[in-house]
Amino acid sequence: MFQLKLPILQALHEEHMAVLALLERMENFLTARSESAPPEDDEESLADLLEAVASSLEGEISHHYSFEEQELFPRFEMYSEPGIPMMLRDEHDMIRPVAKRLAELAREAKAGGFTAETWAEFHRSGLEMVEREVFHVQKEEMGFLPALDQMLPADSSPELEKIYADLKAG
Amino acid sequence: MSFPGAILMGAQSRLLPMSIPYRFFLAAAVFHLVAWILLAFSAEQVEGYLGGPGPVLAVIHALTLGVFVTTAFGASFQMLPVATGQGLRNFWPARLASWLYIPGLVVLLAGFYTGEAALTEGGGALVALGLVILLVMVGDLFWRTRGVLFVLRLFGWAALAALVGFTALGLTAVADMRVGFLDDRLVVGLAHLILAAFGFMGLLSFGYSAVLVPMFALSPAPSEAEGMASFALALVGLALALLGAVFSHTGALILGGAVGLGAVAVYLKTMVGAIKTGMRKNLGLSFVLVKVSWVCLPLSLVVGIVTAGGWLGDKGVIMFVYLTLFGWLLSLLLGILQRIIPFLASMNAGKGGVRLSELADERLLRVHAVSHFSALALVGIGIAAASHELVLGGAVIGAVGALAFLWYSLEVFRRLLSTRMKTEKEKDVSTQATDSSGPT
Repeated sequence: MFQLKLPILQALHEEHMAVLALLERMENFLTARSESAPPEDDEESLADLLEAVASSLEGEISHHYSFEEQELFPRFEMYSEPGIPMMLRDEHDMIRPVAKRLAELAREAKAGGFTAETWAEFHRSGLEMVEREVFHVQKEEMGFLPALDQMLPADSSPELEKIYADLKAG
Repeated sequence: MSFPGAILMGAQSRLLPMSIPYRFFLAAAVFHLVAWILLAFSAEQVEGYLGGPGPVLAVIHALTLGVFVTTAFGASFQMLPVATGQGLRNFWPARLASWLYIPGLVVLLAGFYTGEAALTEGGGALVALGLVILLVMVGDLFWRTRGVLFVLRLFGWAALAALVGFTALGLTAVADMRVGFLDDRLVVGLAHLILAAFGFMGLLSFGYSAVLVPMFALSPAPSEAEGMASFALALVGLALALLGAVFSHTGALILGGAVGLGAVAVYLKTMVGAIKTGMRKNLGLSFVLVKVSWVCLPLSLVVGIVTAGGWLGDKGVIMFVYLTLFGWLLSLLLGILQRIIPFLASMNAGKGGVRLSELADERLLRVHAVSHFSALALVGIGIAAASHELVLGGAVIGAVGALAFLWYSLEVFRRLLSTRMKTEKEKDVSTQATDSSGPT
């Protein structure tokens, strides 16, 4: 969509799209419900949402962030000011524990449903996640990735793709 | 960096001292309240108003100079250095502009309300000096910018030319209050209105929208070809409308409005495209206001065309001005302001931990939105039905909304200051801890 030239950056962009789509789904679900009234376990949309949050959110964010921190932020600092990667890294540090807790709550709810307390926490953490991650993706999509696309040599993509694939494979 | 979100990436490193943009944004929120209150006090005089000093002129300028241009000051000083990559040479002229412009405007509004020529002249001179500073600072930024944001700069240069034009015509009208040398004040008034609302604010809003809307919707940079087509049509439409106003030529006025509608169609196509292709679909309450403004913009032009054709009478003139100022520009700027104010606060809060929702109370924005739309409808119906009671009722509801918006803006500012103080304290504590555990 943004016509990023480097395939590795295009891949990160597609991950952003997937995460944003999931977060918008979660936001719509949560804002339609009160923090004090857990949803019924048999709601179809709830089961799908919990499955997606439990299975992909934490992992996607964890790999994606690690790759950016280990490979892209240092390269960005070489060509531009260090303040931007520092700001993005700070945001990663804020988002990681929220994503981790959200995935834990989703797994627990998948297994045994929500209690009033776990639902309230899921509701709060979910909306916090949406807010923090959307603002973060906004900065990366509109600034960081296009800037990197202009900075990085075209032949650096295959090497970065391999590093990212290895990181994901563990 | 030539992409819409360059503003996000450079925002922390090129932020102005926060007092500069906020003094303008807070002043805009105050003048917004003043505009609705003044409208409530002048509800009986709205019907049949066709220009000249008095409470209605004060309402119009509380809105145009008070809300619109004041927002343009803050947004330009904050946004342009980040978007163009060119810093302001100095901050003091921005501060000086606020010291001249904001008190000057208070005096000017008092002059318009009371019809006192000395107040109008003094206030007008101070406001004009503030506008000259805006012109020089923004012109300097555009002049130094090369190779990026071509469409924004096109709109920006034309808007600055319109700024010169509407300021000169405004000062002429002010001078005429005492001397009475103009043969036809209405001609000057109409040309001034066209240049100020559609020339300066219209062109500037088209240019800034091309950066801000994709940034909020997370969409690609809009097509330059569409931007240039919209710009060319807007310029031709403006020129024709101005000629029509100056020479009292109905055909040119109507044609100008029709070409202007073409510019609006291209602009709206670009904006709707940005929203449709944007990754962020939930754009919140602010974009409800923005979308309403996009409906009011072509509607105001249609009413203007029909009125120029003589089919709506004097009521058409008032409806045209109302839809242009309250429907289009006010709704648009309030929608954008409610995104920019907490966004800047979050950028100014320091280390990336502050959430937008921690800085802003959304409930106040809901009160504002409901009040704004109710007021828009009531005043609009009041004008159409020649009912000053409805105009009064709408103005009171609008004032309630404006109060909620002002409260919201002040609350964001208060929370930002308290967050910054907390961060400073934590920094001091951590520095002391490091010092005390250092080598002895």
